[in-house]
Amino acid sequence: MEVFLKSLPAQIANGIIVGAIYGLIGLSMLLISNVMKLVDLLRGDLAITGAYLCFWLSALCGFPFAVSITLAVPLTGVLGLVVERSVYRPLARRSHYAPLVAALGLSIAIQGALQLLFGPEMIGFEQTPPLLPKVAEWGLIRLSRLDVILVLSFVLLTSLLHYFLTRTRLGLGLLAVADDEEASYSCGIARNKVYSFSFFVASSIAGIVGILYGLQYGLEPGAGFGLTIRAFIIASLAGSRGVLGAAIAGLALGVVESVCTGLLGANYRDSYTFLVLLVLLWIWPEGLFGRIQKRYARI
Amino acid sequence: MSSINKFTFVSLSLVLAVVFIFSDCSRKSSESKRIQVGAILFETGEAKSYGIKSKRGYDLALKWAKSRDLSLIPDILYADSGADESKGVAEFKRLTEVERIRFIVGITGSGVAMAICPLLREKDVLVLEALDSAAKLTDCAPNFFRIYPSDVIQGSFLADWALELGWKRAGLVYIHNAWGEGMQEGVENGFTSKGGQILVKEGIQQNLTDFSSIIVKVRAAELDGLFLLIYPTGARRWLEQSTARGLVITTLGGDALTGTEVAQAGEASNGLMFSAPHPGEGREYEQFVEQYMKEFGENPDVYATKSYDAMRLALVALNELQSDKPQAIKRFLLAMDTFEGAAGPIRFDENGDLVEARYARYIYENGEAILVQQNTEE
Repeated sequence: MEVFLKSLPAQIANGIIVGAIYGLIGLSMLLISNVMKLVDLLRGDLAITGAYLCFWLSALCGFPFAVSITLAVPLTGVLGLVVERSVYRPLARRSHYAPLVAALGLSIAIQGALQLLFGPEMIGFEQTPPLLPKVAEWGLIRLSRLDVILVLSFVLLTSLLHYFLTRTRLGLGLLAVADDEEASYSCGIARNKVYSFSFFVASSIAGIVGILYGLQYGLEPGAGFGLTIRAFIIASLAGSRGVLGAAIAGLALGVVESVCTGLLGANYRDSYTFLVLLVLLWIWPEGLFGRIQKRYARI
Repeated sequence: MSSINKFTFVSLSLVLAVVFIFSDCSRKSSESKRIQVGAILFETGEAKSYGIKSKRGYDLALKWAKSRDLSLIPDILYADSGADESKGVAEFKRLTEVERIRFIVGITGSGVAMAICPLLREKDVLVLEALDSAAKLTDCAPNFFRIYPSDVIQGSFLADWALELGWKRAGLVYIHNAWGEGMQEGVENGFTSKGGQILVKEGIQQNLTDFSSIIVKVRAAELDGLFLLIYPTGARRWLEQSTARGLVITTLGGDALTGTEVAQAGEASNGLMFSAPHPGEGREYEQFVEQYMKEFGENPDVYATKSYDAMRLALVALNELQSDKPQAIKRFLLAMDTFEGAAGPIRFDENGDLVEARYARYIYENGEAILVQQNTEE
C-alpha cells in the first residue's frame, strides 16, 4: 500500500496520458454512432492503418515525418469515407446485423493486409527529433515531449470539434441529423453528405490517434482491437453528452485503468475496465453523461 | 447428342478416370516411401524470431544428413502457432489427424506445448521438443521429450546471479503463461530461500502494450534489481518505455530475451543481462557455427543450436530405426547413450527431460548479446 500511495500521483498522470488516446478514439466512435446510428467496429483498425500509412510514407518513402503525418491523416479520412460509401451506406438500410458483420470481416481483412505488407512483428517510428526525452519531472511523474504532444493534441482536437459542432453551419447540420434524421431531411439538410463528412472527420481523428499510439507504444497489425474496445466503452459512457462526455470518459477510463493496475496489478487490467463499465452502465444505463430518454440526442 | 459423340464422351471419361486413379495411386505409393515429421513453430506473433532460428537449425540438420548420405531424410511439415495456444492445438490436430504425422520435432512455446499435452497423452505421437522450458512440461506426456532444460534450474541460476550482484530487494515482472509462471516460481523460490525479498510482483498478459503503471510501481519501490521474465517484443516495449519514464535499474531476464526484438530497443537494451542455456562448445559446435555463419552471415544463438540438435537427433533416430513409429523412437531415446549435440551432451531421464543442464550469462551491449560467463548445473 505504501508503494501504491507513493506512486498514486504518477499513476494518475499516466492515466491522463493514455486517457487522452482513449478520449480521442472515443470521440471518433461517438461521431459515427450518433450520426449514423451504427457501431463501427473498424475504428481501431482504421487508426492503426493511419499509423501504418504514416510509417510507410516516412520510413519507406522517405518523406519527412511532419509531411507524412499531414498526408496520412487525410488519407485515413478518405479510407473511412470509402468504407462508409461502399460498405456501411448500402448495408445500413438492409438490416442491423449486415454492417456489423461486414465491419468484422473488414477488420480481419485489414489486419491480414497489414500483416502481409508490413510483417507481423512490432515496428517503431523513427523519431526525428526524438520524442521520448523528458521535458519535466516531479517526483515519480516524468513527462516526455511525446506525452505533452499527446495531451495537447487531445485538448486541441476536442476543443476544435466542440467549436465546429456548436458554432459552424456544417457542424449544426451534423447535430440536426444526429438529433432527428427525418426532420433534418425535411429541412433540406443533405443527409448523405453529412454521413460522408462525419465519416471523413471521424476517420481523420482515428488516423491521428493511430499515429500517436504508434509513437507511444509501437505498431502491430492487431493493435486496433484494443482501441476499438476502448472506443466502444467511451461511446457507451459518454451517452448523449457528446464531445465533452467522450473527453471526460476517455480520461476517466485511462485513470481507472492506470490506478487499478497500480493497486491490483496488471494481469486483469481489461477485467477492471469492463467491471467498471458494467457497474456504471448498471447505475446509469444512458451513460455517465446521458439524458434519460434521448439516448442519441446530440453529438 | 449423336451416338458417336456419346461414345467419344464415355470413352474419354473412362480414360480420364483410369489416368486419374493410376496417377493418384502412383503418387500415394511414391509418397509412402517418404516420412514426414511435423514442427509447430512461432512464425508470427510475439516471438517470431524463434521460428526463423528454428527453421535455420532444421535446414542445417537436413544438410548435415544429406552430407552423410543418410538414407531416410524426412519432409518437414511446418505449422505456425503464432504463440497462440488454441491455434497450436488446432495445428497439432491438423498435423496428426489430417496429415497423419506420428513424429513432431518442435512445438515451440511452453504454453502451446502445455495445451497440447492432454491430446498427446491420448495419441500415438512422439514429440521431441527443442526450445520449451516450463517446469510443468516434465509431466506433459509419456511421449514428450525435450532437449531444453527446465525453468526450475534456470530460475535458481538467475536467483543466484542476482544474489551475487548484491540484490536484497527485487521486483519480478513475468508473463502469465506456462513459461512465465515456471520461471517466476523458480526465481522466487531461489531468491527468497536465500534471504532475498520480492517486493513488486507483476504478472502480465502477453499482449500488454502499456507498461507505464508497472514502471512507476517499480520506481516507487526503490528496488535493487528487477527480474524481467517476458517475451522479446514485450521486453522491447518495456525497455523503451522504462527509459522514457526514467526507470534506471539493474535488470536480469530469462532466455526469452535472446530474441532479436530486444536489440531493436537500441540504447535502451544496453546493460540488460539474461541467462540462456549454454551455447555449446567442442567440434560439433564449431562445425555448426561455421556452417551457420556461411549460410546466414551471423553467429547462431541458442535457439538455432538447440533446433539443429533436435532435428539431428531425430534424423539419427529415424535412420537407426528406419521407421517413425513413436514407441520405437521413444525406446531409442531412453536407451541411447549420450548424444553429442552442438549445444552439449543430450541424455534423457525417465520423464524425457535432460539429465544435465548448462547455462550461460549474457549482457546486451550496443544492441548485441555478449556472452560473459558459462556455468554448468546438474
